[in-house]
Amino acid sequence: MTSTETGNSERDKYLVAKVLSGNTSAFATIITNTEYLVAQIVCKMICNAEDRKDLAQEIYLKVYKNLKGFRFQSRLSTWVAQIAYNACFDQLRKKQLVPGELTTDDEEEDSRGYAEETTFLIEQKELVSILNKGIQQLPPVYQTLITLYHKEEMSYAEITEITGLPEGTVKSYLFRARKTLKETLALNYQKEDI
Amino acid sequence: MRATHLTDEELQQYVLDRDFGDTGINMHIHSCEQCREKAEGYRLLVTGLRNQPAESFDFSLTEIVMQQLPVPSPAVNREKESTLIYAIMTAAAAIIGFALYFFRKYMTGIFERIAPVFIYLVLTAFMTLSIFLVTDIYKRYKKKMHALNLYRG
Repeated sequence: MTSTETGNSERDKYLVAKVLSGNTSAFATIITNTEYLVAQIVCKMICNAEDRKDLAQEIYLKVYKNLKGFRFQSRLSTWVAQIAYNACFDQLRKKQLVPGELTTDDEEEDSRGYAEETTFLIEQKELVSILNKGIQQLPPVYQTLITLYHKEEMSYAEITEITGLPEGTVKSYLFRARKTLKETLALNYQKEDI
Repeated sequence: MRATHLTDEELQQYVLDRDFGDTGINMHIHSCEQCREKAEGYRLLVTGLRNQPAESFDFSLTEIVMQQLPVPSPAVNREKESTLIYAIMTAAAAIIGFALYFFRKYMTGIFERIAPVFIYLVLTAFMTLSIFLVTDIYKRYKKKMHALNLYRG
């Protein structure tokens, strides 16, 4: 365990103890410390702004209610993220928007051949914009995994802990998502356009 | 050196793994323009993903949540609550004790008058039911803990 992790753990223990002793303002600090990560998950999995608001509140009320059951087996932020992911997943399931499978069509890619392989000399801003659109077209779980792995630079172990998905599944979903996104980029920027 | 082009899996591994040590693949990438271009594509993709704008809520989450938190009940109430529970338990024990004392003459030899087979039957039924109940309670507990992600096992 690194010194940062130890520091986090000590801070987590202090905050949790404060909340459990009746100091609700310590909970505001927990929200502030974990809100960023929760936003990355909720915003990727839930499209509707009102639903996001309701769900974010629901997540933190659940965290508050179950705080005494937190055993410090992971970082507090990871535990809160788990609750956020599960709440989002349940919401999607309730609305029958169960995260779909992403299929990558190898044959289609082969037929396109290398003509569509690009040198990708794209302006960074434009690239981010195209990718953003591409990410939005991915199923919610894939969006979340891409964000946690590439944007938040989380390890497979941390992602596994948050999502409850086996490491192999996380790797496989990430592979498919990256392949699809690369194809999106290739379709937007063919050699002749550059 | 690899004679065939690299698969997407190999390309992703090459781009993402800084300590990628497969010399065959490394040499192929250096000599094959198509695969190098593909790898560049993935590298650019990874950079783009890292530079994606961070999401944020467009409302003050802390404020909204803090308004909804239940007011912590004062410690005095908890003390009162536990005193009440102890009083109820003592009263119950006293009632059972008195009942056993006053009806003791009916209790003696109660098991002698009942056929042993019947006692075993009742005991077996009781034990079986208890096992089922405890298993069910444990299963439900585990399910709830999994739902809350508190249980690891």
